[in-house]
Amino acid sequence: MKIQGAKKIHYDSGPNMTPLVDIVMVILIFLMLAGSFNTLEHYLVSDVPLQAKGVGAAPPAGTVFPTKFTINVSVQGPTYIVKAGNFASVKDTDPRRACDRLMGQLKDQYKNFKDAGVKMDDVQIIIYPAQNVTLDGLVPAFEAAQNAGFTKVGFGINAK
Amino acid sequence: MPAIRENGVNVTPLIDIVMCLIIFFMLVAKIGVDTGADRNIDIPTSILGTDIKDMGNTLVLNVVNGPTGVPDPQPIVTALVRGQMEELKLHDFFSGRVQDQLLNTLKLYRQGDPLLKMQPNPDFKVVIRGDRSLTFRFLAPVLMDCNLAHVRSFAFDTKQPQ
Repeated sequence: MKIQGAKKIHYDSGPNMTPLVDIVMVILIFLMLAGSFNTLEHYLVSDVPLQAKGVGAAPPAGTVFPTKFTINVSVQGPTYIVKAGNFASVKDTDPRRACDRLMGQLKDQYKNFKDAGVKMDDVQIIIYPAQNVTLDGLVPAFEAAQNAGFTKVGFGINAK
Repeated sequence: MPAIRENGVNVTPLIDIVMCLIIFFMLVAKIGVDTGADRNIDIPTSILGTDIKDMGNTLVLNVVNGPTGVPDPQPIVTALVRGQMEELKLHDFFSGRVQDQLLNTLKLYRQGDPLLKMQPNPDFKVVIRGDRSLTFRFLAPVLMDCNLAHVRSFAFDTKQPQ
């Protein structure tokens, strides 16, 4: 009688890794499906305090004011109107198209400020939107100002 | 010494790579991190924009238009306040009501409260997750409250164009 086991080749390749691989693969698939990376969202940040027209007292004498100009945004029917200081006024039915044109004029203004020796970190742009302007109309104006090179962009309200 | 004969595929490189991937996903993916952002809000699109690295110092305010045609129109603001999703009613500066839940909450996060063991946080930021149809009429009181609470920085949550 032959003993079969005696001639059997013993394949010795360490511990059985199959259950480990199974579990690790399950964890990997779970993490890939459950994880959210939020890569499709980003933020438009403003560090400029809210400005309010028509409130507060007169500032004390000798107060140094930052260089600032305003962008007024309004909507009249289907027309989106944006006016920057006294140097730019754009009307269009599409806010983004209007703000693309505004951005060109803001870039020119940025260059003018720089040529005049104005310290650009001191320049503030304050956006005054009308009450009926939606966020979809505000964001392009905000972006246009930032894209033109102005870093300090904020909002203002007419308190009166 | 008997010769060791291996059979099957060598899975060691596979395990190495899979382990690296797991560690990567564990570090990068945000699982179970709830900022309180309402995913049903249709946020505006923007081309520019930055990431906020320190989301732990922020409070996400979900803001949508409130009902119009009422004597005291105010936006509907919700936020995750200390682990609870809450609607934060606003102060109406026409009637001069004292209770302003939004302002009180912002002050709590910005200035802290010893009773609640919350420290003052000068780096506190507000993220405004506003609907694209949100009008400035409803956005202005939210910005006003941020200003009154001395919040130095706020950001609009936007999405990248597809």
